[in-house]
Amino acid sequence: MARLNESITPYLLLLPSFFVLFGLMIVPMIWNVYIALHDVSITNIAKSWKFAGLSNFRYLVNDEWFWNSLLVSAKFVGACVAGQFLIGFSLAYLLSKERWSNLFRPVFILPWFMSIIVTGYSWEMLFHTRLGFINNYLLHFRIPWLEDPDIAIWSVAIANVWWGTAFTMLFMETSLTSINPEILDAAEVDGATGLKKLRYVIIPLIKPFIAVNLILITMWTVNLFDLILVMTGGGPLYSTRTTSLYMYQQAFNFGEISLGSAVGIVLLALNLVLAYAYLRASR
Amino acid sequence: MGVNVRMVRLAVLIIWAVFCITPIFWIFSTAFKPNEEATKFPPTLIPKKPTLENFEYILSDPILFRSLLNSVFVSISAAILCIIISSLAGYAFSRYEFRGKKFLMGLMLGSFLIPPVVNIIPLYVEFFKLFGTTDSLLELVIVYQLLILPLNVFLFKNYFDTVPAELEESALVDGCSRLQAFYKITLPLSKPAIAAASIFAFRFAWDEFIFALTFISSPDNNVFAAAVYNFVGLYQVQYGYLAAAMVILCIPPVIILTLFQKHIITGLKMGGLKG
Repeated sequence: MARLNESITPYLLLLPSFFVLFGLMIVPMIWNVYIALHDVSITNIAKSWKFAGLSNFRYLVNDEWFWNSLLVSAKFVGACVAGQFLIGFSLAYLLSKERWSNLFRPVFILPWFMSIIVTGYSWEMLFHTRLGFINNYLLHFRIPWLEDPDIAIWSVAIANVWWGTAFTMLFMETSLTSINPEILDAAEVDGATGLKKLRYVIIPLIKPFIAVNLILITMWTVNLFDLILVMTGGGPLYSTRTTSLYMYQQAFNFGEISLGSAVGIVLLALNLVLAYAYLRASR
Repeated sequence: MGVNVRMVRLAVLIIWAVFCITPIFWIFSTAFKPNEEATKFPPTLIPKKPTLENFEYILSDPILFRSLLNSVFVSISAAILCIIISSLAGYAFSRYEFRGKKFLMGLMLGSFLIPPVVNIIPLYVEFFKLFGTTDSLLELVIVYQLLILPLNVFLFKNYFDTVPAELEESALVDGCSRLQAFYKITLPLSKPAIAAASIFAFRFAWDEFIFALTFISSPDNNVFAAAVYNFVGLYQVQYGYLAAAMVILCIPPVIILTLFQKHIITGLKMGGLKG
């Protein structure tokens, strides 16, 4: 009897967690497909839904703003990932050589502990064309950081680099400490110094960590839209509306829930590919 | 030569440190400026006449004050619920061998990777269909479990792995059941893990605002972050008020960070994707 009990106990202990996981993750994924194949809007959500086939996807393919959002996403993800990685890696490398690294590290991590809404609003204040800190104290001319459609997406990317770089820095610091110091000494004996050592010894050794880090920050940036919502709401002229923000606004600003779901499926597919890449790279 | 290299390195590090601090400095500075000063051109770097009137305004606004209480309620409830659920699962993964364990752990790890925001639309529809409304703080507490659960399950699993099983076995010999051994022996020894897990859970819930913005429709049920977002939309930006609200929003995480720095670092190590 005791034996039988023992064998179901772990499942009972896991039940609440998997209830959450199932109800809030798996069921919604299936629902998403169902919603995307029907005609659901905020007005008929409580009533019965008409089957719509692939018409939502057809709408997307023909909507130039959807294609525009993919382009905005590409710019945003490219800028943020490049910025966070290059800066995060450089900081980790510099800190690894710096005696006072314990003084700098807490300051560098501080932004990462700010919530998205605080990040968004404080950068909005810094970027303010007339009253902002940047235009008044750093430059002595006015750049319309968040008001010019050609500039706004890069401004939001700066805010996101400010917020997110600490993760890459910490991740890269850990991976740098994983290198056996004897290998570095040996490289030095062989005449590799400074940047040469970095290029031919350090980077090849931590390549797997770099891959995992790049995949994770790419995933997070693809899905991120709360920061953009706070800073620009997708404007001006939709120039900062990424695909994830397009998804959100179709559903909750325009009430086109099914259209939003269809975009959600596109995003989910992208996430699954990245998650698969992550699991392979982290092995 | 060596001195110059170090100088350049220090210069780069100092520049980045200034970059990190500036936005935070700016909201703190603006929060203490009277409104005329906050909107005056050119802006002052440090408030000339520091004042608390912005904080008084925010805290005396009944909707914002109510939302602050709601935030505290939601964050603490979400943390407690998460600790209960995730410690049980962490214990199962740490102490038991059972069929499908590897698969279930993989599923948990995988779900950690997919950002829940991708599912916000079907979640909204699901909760709407189930409960007839999404305008409820309890529903938010449930939704927030998804955000924090996987991280905390692995945090507890990795911590329980370090607690010797022999202690429990001697309790079993003394006539305890397995679960009694868990909450009488192992759980009290796991205070650092409980601390780290509750900090993570509290912070996720405290900072979250997209789900709150989407689910909650009545001002009485709003949490602080979403209420501030709506407040900005309604009344045009009064930068003094907005900055004060941001400072209030920063306070709990900053207190937690300084008080529990050690726990957070252990927690990050334990929760690291070790599986």
